[in-house]
Amino acid sequence: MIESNISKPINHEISNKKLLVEYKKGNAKKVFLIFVLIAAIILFSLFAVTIGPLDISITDAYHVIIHKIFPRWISAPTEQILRTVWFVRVPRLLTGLIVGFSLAIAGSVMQPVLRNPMASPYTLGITSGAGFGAALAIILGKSIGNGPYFIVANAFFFSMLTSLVLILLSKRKGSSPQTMILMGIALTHLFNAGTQFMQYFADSWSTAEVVFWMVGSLSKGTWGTLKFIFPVVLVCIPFLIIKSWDLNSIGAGDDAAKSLGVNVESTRMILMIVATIVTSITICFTGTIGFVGLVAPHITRMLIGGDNRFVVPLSGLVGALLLAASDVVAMNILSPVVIPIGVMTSFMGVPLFIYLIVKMRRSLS
Amino acid sequence: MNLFKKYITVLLVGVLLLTITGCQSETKPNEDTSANAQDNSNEDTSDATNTSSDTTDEQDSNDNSESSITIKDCVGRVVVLDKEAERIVDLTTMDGVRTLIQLGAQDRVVGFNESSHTVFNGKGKAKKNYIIVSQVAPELKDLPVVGNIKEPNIEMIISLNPDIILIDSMAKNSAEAIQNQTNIPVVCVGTFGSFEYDMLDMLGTIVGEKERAQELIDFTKTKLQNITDITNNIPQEEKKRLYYWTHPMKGHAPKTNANYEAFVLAGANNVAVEADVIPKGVYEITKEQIIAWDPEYIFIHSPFKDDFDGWMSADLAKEDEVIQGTQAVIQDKVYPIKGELGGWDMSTQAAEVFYLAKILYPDKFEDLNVEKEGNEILKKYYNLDGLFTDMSHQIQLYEWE
Amino acid sequence: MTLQVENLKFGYTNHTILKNIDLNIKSGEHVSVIGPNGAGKSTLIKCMDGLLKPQKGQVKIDGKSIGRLKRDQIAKKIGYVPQSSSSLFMLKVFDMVLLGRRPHSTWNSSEEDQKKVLKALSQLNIEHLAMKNYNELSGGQQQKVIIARAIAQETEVLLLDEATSNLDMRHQLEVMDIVRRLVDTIGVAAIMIVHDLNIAARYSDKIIMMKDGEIVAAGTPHEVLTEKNISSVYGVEISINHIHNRPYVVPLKAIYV
Repeated sequence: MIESNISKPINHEISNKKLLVEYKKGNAKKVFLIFVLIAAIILFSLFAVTIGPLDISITDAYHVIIHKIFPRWISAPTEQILRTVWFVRVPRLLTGLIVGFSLAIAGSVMQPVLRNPMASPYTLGITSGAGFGAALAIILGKSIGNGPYFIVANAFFFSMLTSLVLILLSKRKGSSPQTMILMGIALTHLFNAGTQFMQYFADSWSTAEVVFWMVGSLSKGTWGTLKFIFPVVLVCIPFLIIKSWDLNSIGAGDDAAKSLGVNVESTRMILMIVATIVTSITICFTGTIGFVGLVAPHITRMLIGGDNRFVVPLSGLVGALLLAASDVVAMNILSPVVIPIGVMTSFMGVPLFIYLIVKMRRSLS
Repeated sequence: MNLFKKYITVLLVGVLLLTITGCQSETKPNEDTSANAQDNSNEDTSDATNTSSDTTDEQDSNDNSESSITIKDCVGRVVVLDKEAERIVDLTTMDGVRTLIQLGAQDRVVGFNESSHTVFNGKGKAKKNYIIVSQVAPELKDLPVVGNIKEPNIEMIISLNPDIILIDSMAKNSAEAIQNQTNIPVVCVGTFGSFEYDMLDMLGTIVGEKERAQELIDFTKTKLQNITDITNNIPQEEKKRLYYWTHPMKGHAPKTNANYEAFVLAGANNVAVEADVIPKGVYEITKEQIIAWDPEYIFIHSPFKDDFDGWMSADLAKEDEVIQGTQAVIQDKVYPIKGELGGWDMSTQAAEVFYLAKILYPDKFEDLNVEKEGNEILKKYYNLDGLFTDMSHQIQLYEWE
Repeated sequence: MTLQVENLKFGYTNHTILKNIDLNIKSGEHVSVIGPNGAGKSTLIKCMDGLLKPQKGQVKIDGKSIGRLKRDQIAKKIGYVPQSSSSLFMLKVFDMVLLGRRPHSTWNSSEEDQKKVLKALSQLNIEHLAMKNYNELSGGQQQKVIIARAIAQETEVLLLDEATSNLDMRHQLEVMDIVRRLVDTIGVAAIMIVHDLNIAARYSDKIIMMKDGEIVAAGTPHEVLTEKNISSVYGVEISINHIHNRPYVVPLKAIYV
């Protein structure tokens, strides 16, 4: 009876080879999708730098970029065009791309790590922590750090503090993902209460500022802020992508993951910390832009399934494109009024999301 | 999601402001103020009138005594008082109490908003911010606080036994609720950057200072005519184009507001008005938009003397590398302005018409002494000397040799 | 390879689940753990994989205490098949089995890893499922995939926690055959919880019978599966026959005390 399985070894060889080819093809498709998205982002960027309130021709816009990248090749264009393209459009576009990329990747990591499809910086209180920090700086003038970045520094500090508290508290009783989510929700309420409490005593200008901060905007995206965001993202994101395979194991259950050699507790903690750092460094500059982090990973999973080795990087690209495209629409559709980016990402992301849910009916099971 | 809702609410409120217009007194309709009227008054917001009509009808039939006063508040609600208001609770953020001070009726205020309390006690940002009324009527700092419009302290309000409660026009939807809870008439007041003579008149009627109100209205109109007689003759295409930068936070997106009537009277075209956008309140734009508008002047809402908590001054704005190419920066025409800081204030707005006119058209107003005129206007309103000089120093307005 | 359990005790504050457990298992042994519900079988298996930390005593593999080893070191030596396993994500069966290569290759999979996955799949006769979504399979198919994953892990010890309980008779026998063959050909030590005493008797070299957190009997099927042992542990009346030189248990009725 044992022999039954190995009766036709030659046939097995052939079908195995076929399977391997099929499997590799499936993965190659996903890799191809990565390149498609990168190409889409490049094309979109080339388009985005050509539109804005100021009428700048396509050639002029590219002229600036080529001049800035290869100053020896080509002479400088006029001052005004240079300023507009290089100091306004390009940094804002890059900020949109990097912030979208980072938040989506952070979301795509947090969801499996906490085994919860609703996990995002919102649900974990990280965003409200940042909001509280900003409100504290705006209303009371109390802040970690000084100078022009005093609100930013406070927002960053408090969002990091939130996740630290979250991690330390849940460590005490064996870090179950459910307790983390619950504590995150509790902390969200605590911080929101704190923010509202302060607003209650603040004068109306400070309150307006807090509201403006909470709404979130990419307008703070300059070369100056990119200098802060980019290095952090450059260090953190590759780490998250490298660790993404372990997310598949964690998704199969803690015991299964442990038996497969994953140190679940410490992996969960490290991934949470890194994802929080990425989230904090971006939202402390932009205000609360959270939706991308929730929706981009799900859109990605609906497109390519649940293999996190691909979901994590692809979510980043989907998030980058979604956020940057939303921002361009937000800036131009009612020009000169700029619609809040959060509003626009929802307008653009939700219909796509719902379409995919109806059409594909998968994602997290 | 909550935030989006919040913002949409803010937006809707902004749009509502649009529809809110006149404040009218109906006691002496023939004495209506028509002379220099900005024609922003007579558009009734009919829904507000309708909702309030039930209650007012009742009151009408109950106390139809001779001394009763009928007014139409700033959102068009008809309110009937059985007598002049001796005791007033002010739930507005400054608009109510400021106007009452201007009418010399600050002693009628028996309780006010938390934020007014902060302002009069120089707490928080108000400490560094220059607000005239806290200098003019420092005695108000000990007034009882009756909460704010979101959470009015109804029991406290009732215990103060006021004849009338003032709330912001923006909060007009709360008017009936508060009126029903307290059984005290509620009046909506508030200006949105234009000269709301009707509000002055209405409050004057309520406190029995109608003459004082009329005196201020006539004075202001006559004063402003000195400027408008000249600026009205400037052809549209020769009017200076300016960008009004409100709430300038360092590192934040620039914002603007199309509502400041002083710009119109001083003969300027606010680029935000030219743009003819949907939101009429404060809205966000991009810096590139400033380049595209290429204004000849930038007036920056610059309320604080010192570098304060990330607020940007006119000097800092000039250094912003993005807007270096605009005419305003090239020609060094970036100026501070009080604008809407501390709330729209008719007195400072009138003074700023002079300030703006001289900056925009130095040839036409060569002999204009802004400091003298400003002091005169503010003295008329607040009965104190040197207020404009003081304000100029405090918020670093431009000063002539 | 030797796997030793020494004086193991496990429990929560007021509630002891396992006590006085001593075991000695060598390469090439097929061991079945039997016993009624709540006897502590699954807990024992989890302690052996280091998933639960014992209060007292230790589990040693080749003389080294498991408590001192890192997770990926354990994963190279011990494979574990849980009772049931769902995936949070839509993972392809191939990718699910590929996770078994995690202890051997850190980031991505090599060509060799992929071949080993295919080998494991074909050993279980489930190559046709390779490109299916794991979550869309039946319980029995999922069980086989998880076993394939443990096989791809290429460990010396295989712990199976009721791995056959979801399977019908044919698949049950298939899986038992496969495990038996791994034991015979590669010399894997397989320790599996089995509910069906006759299946245990048919395949195992050694049977461990547990009750109330303790080992009641251990030894060859003949030694353990006696009328006395079974009726005292399970509370049933049975009779033992012998078929193919193995004991065969025929249940008669439950004993009511």
